[in-house]
Amino acid sequence: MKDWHFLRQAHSLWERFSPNRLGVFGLVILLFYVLIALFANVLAIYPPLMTGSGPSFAGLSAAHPFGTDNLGRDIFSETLYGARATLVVSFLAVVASTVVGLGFGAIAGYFGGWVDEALMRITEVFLVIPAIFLALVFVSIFGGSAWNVVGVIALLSWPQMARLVRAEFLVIKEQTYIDAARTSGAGNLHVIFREILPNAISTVIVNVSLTQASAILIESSLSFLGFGDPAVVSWGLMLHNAQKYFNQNWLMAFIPGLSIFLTVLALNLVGEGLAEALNPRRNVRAASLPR
Amino acid sequence: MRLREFRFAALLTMRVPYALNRLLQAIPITLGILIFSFILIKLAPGDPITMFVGDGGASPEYVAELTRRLGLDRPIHEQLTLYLWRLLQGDLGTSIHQGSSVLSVIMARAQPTIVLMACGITSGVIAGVLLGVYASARPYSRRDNVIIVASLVLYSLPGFWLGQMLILVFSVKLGMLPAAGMSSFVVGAGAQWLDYATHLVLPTITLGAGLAAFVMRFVRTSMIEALGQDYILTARSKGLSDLVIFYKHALRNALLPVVTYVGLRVGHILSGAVVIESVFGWPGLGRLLIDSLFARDYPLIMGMFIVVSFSVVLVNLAVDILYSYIDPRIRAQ
Repeated sequence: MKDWHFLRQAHSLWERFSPNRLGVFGLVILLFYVLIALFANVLAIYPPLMTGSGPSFAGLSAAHPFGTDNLGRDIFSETLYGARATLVVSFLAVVASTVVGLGFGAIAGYFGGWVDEALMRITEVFLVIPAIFLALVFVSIFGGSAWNVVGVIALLSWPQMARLVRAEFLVIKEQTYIDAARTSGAGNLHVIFREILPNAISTVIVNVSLTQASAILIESSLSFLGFGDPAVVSWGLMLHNAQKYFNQNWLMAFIPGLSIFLTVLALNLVGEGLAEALNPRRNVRAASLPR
Repeated sequence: MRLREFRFAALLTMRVPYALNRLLQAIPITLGILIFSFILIKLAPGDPITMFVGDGGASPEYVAELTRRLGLDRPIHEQLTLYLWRLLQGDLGTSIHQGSSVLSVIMARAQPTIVLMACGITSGVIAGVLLGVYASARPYSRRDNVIIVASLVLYSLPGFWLGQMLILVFSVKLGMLPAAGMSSFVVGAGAQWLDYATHLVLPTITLGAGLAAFVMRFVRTSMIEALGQDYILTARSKGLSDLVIFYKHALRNALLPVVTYVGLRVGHILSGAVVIESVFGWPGLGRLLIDSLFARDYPLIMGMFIVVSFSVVLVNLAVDILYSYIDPRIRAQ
């Protein structure tokens, strides 16, 4: 029974999301890259870091759809594996930051008082420090392994989520149905998880897709600057390697950069589409406007 | 005249408490940044002494002296107090590689970054405002849609890639503009400024593009809102021309939030500048940070971390107070 309920909800969300052509366009690009990341090992022609898979700076051919780089690595295969690294790292970071942000935001918004004050001051500190600066300092101190990159992106992203969730909780906890739940004997945990959270979830979902976009940008900035894991191919690392070889093969920089751009654009489009589909107020306004 | 005098007097009496209030709010944030930087240093794996003297090894006497001087033999809360006290006196330590004080090293490299950010912000805001106003003139038209999509595209563009593509097109293929650095080695007399300016063009565009994307959406939304207000209707019924209504009445009000907005984004813009400086070999703070990271010059790294974060707090504070000065409604809240 519960599954059917979920399906019905998903269907109604799709019905509200699908009229947004840009959102659907974003979703298609996103699925494309997710599939690439999932099946990179099947689709790739060569192992990602295999040097000398062809001559250096080979042009376009059937064997090398995007040519080769300075060490004769196949750019096409590198891009496929790069999708995997970039998407997995940013996704894990988003999961971590969502869990932490949701938890702290809920506690701050629901209980208020000094807990709220303290948590908000902490988030302010993180929001003031320039993201790349903190990320670089962190990675230089603790090392640039994939897990550390996940950690620092999560560290940078949770305050935003916490503040949004807190704001939602502050509004929702004043509603009369919350009072009703409480008078019928519901405890704090029940109210937080069963009454308030389901109503705050749309904000969370929208922010997840926007956070994922910025996570990809931070991850690729770090690898581009040379502070990622050099043994793992990512789009940022490819751009880092391309810097000296614009003259020889411009696809070295063009293909991975285009992939970063398209994925980030897709996530932003999906985020906007979801915001419109999930927020009834915005939806009414959007529906009343000529398209 | 009378009204103006009255307003001025009101400003004087009201601005001071507001500014003071904001100043007080900035203190916990600053303290938080400092404590956070302290925690980062403490959490760093490895011995802090090796971090300071490097792997080369130092005489035991020097290590003992350093341990005492850095206060590493004291309990943790005393270390924190010592750390804060030293920072309060403006002592950020000494750069390992450059040998001079961290603060002087940072100051010497701040100017190129400030120039780049000033140019990026100016061009980004001007482009953003013009496009935002242009879009808002016919909301929900084809023109408006194109501009909205353009802004989405611009803010999804990673700065480092945009920079690389601009270099590829304008420097490598067309040979019109220099690809890197702040000046050429050989410059004719009197051409120095021109040389400087040509080196600034591509980094400025790269930095300004992202900001323009945000500003244009922001201006568009607030213009559409402003144009729906009653005072616009009043202005129309007085027979004022569209141009006057647009630029004098609506834009003035729509621009107010942009000031705060840009101020709050200074941190992001600085983040962008760090990466863009690296793309274009611009010799500013971003380049300095990357170099000091590769050199593992920890005192310099932490010093930059503190100075930069602190500057962002100051800019946010200044913008807030400036905004309250421009828009009296803020102070009343």
